Amino acid sequence: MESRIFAAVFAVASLIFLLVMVPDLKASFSANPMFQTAGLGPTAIPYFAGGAVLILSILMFFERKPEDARSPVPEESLEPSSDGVASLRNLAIFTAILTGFIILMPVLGFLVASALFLAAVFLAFCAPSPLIAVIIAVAAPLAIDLLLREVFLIPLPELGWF
Amino acid sequence: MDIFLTSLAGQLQPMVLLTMVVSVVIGMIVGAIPGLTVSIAVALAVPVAIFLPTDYALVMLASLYAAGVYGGSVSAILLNAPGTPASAATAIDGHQMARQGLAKKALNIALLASAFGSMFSILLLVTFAPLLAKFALRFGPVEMAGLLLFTFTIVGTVSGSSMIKGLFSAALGILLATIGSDPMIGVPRFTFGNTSLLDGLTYIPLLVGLFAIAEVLKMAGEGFPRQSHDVELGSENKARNRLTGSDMKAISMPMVRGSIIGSFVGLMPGIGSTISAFLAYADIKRSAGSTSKVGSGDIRAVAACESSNNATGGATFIPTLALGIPGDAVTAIILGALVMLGVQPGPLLFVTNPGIVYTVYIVLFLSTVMMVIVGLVATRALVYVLRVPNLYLMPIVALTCAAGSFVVRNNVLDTFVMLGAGVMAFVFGRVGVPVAPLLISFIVTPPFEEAVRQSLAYSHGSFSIFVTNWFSLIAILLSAIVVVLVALAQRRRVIPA
Repeated sequence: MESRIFAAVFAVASLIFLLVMVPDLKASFSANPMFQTAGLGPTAIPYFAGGAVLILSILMFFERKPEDARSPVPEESLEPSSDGVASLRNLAIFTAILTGFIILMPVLGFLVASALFLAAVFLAFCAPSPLIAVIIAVAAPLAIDLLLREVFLIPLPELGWF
Repeated sequence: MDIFLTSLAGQLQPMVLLTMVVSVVIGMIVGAIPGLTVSIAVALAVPVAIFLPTDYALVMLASLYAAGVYGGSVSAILLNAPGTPASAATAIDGHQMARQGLAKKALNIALLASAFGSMFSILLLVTFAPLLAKFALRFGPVEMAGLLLFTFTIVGTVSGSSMIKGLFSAALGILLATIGSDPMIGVPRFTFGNTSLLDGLTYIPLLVGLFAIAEVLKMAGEGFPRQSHDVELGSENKARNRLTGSDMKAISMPMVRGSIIGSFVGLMPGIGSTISAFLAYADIKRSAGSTSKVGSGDIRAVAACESSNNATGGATFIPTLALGIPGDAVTAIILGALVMLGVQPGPLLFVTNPGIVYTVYIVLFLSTVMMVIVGLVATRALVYVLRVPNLYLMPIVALTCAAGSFVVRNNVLDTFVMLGAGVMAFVFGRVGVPVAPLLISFIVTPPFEEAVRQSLAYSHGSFSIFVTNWFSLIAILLSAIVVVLVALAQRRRVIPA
């Protein structure tokens, strides 16, 4: 079932790509004689790749699983199991925290944002030892910052980067 | 000879050797931790490597690769949880040996076989890469287009369990590679007016997301599970774990066979060391006969699998260096890093910059020696690393990824590209679409597009140029044959006779 949803999403996306985005690209340069070339133009590979994604998505939608890969429980029966719901919840929580970290890193700086990120993850996923969690939340960003900034001379965002 | 000696002297500098030791240790640790693959180790190192001199970057990346594959066998043997997919075949017999109180022996055989496989493939690399490069120097755009078409086909058809999904991944990689300026006339494609996208999707965030973030998301979905620890090295009988002369005799041929299989697989783009290890396992099982212990703790199986997966590592550098076509996901990452450092792998590299080629040879050799030394000394310490809970480790990996993606251009857009790539690769994993074809296609699409369009400009738009050239024609025919054969084989698996 997951495979079919995936295939359907990519089939629709590739149709939009082929019918809207690539023609738009073609219109953007075709009037300009500077961009006329013998042979293939800038849209040829996008058309080829988009077409291939579309055809393969359709084939994937109808693809049958090999005998040896079939699970005893049919995929389509799917009321999400409690494990599945917990897994989705975990995933959503972690992705949200990571997104927050990405947004906050340029604003708060690497050190503060990283410490907050680690603390949030340890809190959300109930780290077994609060003491170790606090030590890691402080020490890991410091160590990475020190390594990148001092040893490899790679600057990381600081507080008020922008 | 002067260039070789200069490269050798460069690699023997104390700082370079220190970089190598640190990289080997980190490679082993990361390779040993289930969930953190060798691809992740190399991907995480790239944002740092591109800020270093080329020699140091090569030392860092190649050492991580060489040591990471062996590191994977440690957790495969001790925990039955392969640290890297390439060690999955090793786990079958290696873990059985560990359960019989022979973990130390299994680890030593894995180390010996890994070193043998690596050295075997380095020898092939030194022998064949220059010959292949010399041959490839005659290639024009038509031949290059044919060769790269064959690469797409092989990468797509044999990378995963489903040809359709493999080809889908490759096609998506081609599509993503078209974002940015057109390589021939500079028209911006799919940039939505964003100047940050004119150079295309930034390589580092993409690969960090595809490999590392996807794995972190997977672990997060599982609630960061703890590894079990059911084998203790300290309690084992030392005499039983000693490698004897008859052991060495028993594993010598499996190591040679495994190395040959691994090297052959490494020459083919996109197949990788996981498949080579299983091929070697199947080979040793068949050759050992039905009465053998293979499957229940046979030293020959451990030796064959480990020599094979390590031989693949060295051999993948042959197409990477000589043709500029990555042999697997890890060499795709290294190739991308080299390009960012201003080194363009391919036949011309052997003429214009042979020092880099020699550096790769020397680094692979020295890092294998270092891997043996560190492996003999530090395997016991490595066991403690396996006890670090994923909950503490994986978020640190995630923030390293985000920092690494950000520092490339100090652009927050790149961290979102990383997250997007990570989510996409996570979904790929859920539905069984392999990621390696996407990355390899992403890397080889720009030269492919240039080659095709240059060929067509030369032929005034006529596609006949691809069938009148014998090399291109053979590549096209081989591509078609591979697709048909793989499709038939997969059809037989769906509809059993």
